Amino acid sequence: MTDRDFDQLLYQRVSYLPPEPISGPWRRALGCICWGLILITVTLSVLSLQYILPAVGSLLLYLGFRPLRKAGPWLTLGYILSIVQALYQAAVILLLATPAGPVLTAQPLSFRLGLLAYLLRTLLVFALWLGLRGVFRRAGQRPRTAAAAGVAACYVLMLLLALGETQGALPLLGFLLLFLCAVAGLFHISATLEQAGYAIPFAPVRVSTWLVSLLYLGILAVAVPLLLFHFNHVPLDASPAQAETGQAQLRQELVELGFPEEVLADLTDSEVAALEGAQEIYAARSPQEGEVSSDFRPSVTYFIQVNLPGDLARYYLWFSQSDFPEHGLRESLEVDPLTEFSQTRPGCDLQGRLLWEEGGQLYQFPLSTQLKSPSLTGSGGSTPSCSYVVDFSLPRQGEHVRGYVSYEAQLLADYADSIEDIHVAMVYFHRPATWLDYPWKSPEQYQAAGLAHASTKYSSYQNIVRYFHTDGLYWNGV
Amino acid sequence: MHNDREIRALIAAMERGEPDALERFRTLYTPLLRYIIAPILSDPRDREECLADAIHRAWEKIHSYETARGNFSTWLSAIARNAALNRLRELGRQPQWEPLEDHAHHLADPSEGPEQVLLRNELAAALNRALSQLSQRDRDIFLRKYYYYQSTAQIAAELGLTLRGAEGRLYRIRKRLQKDLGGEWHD
Repeated sequence: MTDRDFDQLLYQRVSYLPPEPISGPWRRALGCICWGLILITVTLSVLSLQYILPAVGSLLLYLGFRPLRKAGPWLTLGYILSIVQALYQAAVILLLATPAGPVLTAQPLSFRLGLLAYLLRTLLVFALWLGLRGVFRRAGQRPRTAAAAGVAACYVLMLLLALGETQGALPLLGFLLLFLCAVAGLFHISATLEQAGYAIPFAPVRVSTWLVSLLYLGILAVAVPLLLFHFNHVPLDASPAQAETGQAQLRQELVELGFPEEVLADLTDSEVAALEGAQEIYAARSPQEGEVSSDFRPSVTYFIQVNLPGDLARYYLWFSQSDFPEHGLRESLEVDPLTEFSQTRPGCDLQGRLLWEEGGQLYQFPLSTQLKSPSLTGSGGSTPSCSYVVDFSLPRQGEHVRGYVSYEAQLLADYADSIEDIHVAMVYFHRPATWLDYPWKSPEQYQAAGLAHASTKYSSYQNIVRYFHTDGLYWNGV
Repeated sequence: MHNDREIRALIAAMERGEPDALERFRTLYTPLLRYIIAPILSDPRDREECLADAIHRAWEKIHSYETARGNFSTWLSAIARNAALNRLRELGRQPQWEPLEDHAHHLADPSEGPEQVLLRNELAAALNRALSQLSQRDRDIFLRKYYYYQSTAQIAAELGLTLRGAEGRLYRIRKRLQKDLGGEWHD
């Protein structure tokens, strides 16, 4: 029997069967749209579902509107909006894997973007509602779109609640009720079409559903880890360096004043020259000599204060690293002078280098180039100050890795009479434990999260250094 | 939404021959009837005449509709399909893929003898068994193509498939049925 003969037999003999129903052609498209709207509206902040569900929802919305795109102007608009929604969602997911992520999630941009997303969804629901009305009109029937209209009304009310920035249990309960009403309405939309849905003209598709889904979700699934990997590793633009031993006389004087030798050895001649006329030097080591550090990272940290003529002080934070992270990820170092609690006013200029040896050669990487925009508000106080945030990666093949940053501060005129701390600074080291820590976090976000709770996705070290009249300079511990 | 109660009320009104029932029926079910007729008849005038014929038949045969035997829409779909195929026969045309005389086999044919009825039932049972092995989606595609005469392009558009994807799917369905039915269907 040839294929054609068999085909003809099928046409003949299917008539022997009792009549079978044909599934409403609109059910699949509307099912996709309704589930899409639900998934982009639901926020479940567990197991990364807050990112996965909206992505799947946006895809479903596009797949649902795609075959309806020629079924009237409103459904065409819905199709265009579904593309915008899918692109917006993809852009958000991708940007959250980059240093732009913390900017997106910070207020007020986060709130504005949230409103924009809600406006987009509301427009989508309106386009669906008006599009369905058009379908009924085309079918010559009275529109039965109460469910869709109800969903649209719910979205408008939710948008108004969001616009009003209303807070508290009652608005939240109202929001939840509206959302549940919207979901219930969405489930009824497909059923309302019943007979009118047969009048919908379906547009052909050129790319299969599977391919679209694979491309959309696949690109996100591949691009997010790649972006995380890329932005969790700072390229080390290293250059060979020579150990500088000039200014021998001055170096000797500084050592005699208490400057730690191993730190001084890393300073350039010009940096040493800038300490000419040093009057007093205070240095604090962490951990203390002889003390075994089990959980401290980095291995050794020095904080040094050099009092200079003209009521100036220069501060040094020096650290050495003996452990190398498995993935060579981004290290974040933050020094936050708490000016509201001290008698110093630091400037916003940060100097520093990362140093290491490789094959007997000394290499350097300037840390000052990684200076982030200084904060002008300080740590919760009203006094303007700068906090220094530096991102770098540790050299994979490096030995004897160490680095330092330094900044200058003006000592207040009456600091000598103060009974308060002369200088207080918070020092943080943050390191993602996995390059898959999504979304990408800024050092400030690690700091905030670290203070709130422990995480397996990153490790943090924090300490506070204080200089007090009676106690000198010391690590206070946190 | 048109719930069962509303539809039962419409059917009852049609059975009583209420004048407005015909208009209600026409308004409600014309999209479905057009949807079933369109793939079989290409000429718009033929479609309109067939639509009128199908509505007339449904009105006439409403007493033969039994709720227990199936969905009202399914019953109407069968009426529209048969009306379209009969119209095609009246026009002296036939689908290129099917000998015309076979279309009415599912309808009661008084000229059939007991042996023919038995054979027809056996063939139908074999096909039903084979179809039951298909997934719901493949069974839907099969019915659209072979029972409702929808073009592959229409099936593809309505199911969100590319034309090539729908063709491939139909090919695999045919091959599977050929494998399952090959022995039983050899003439």
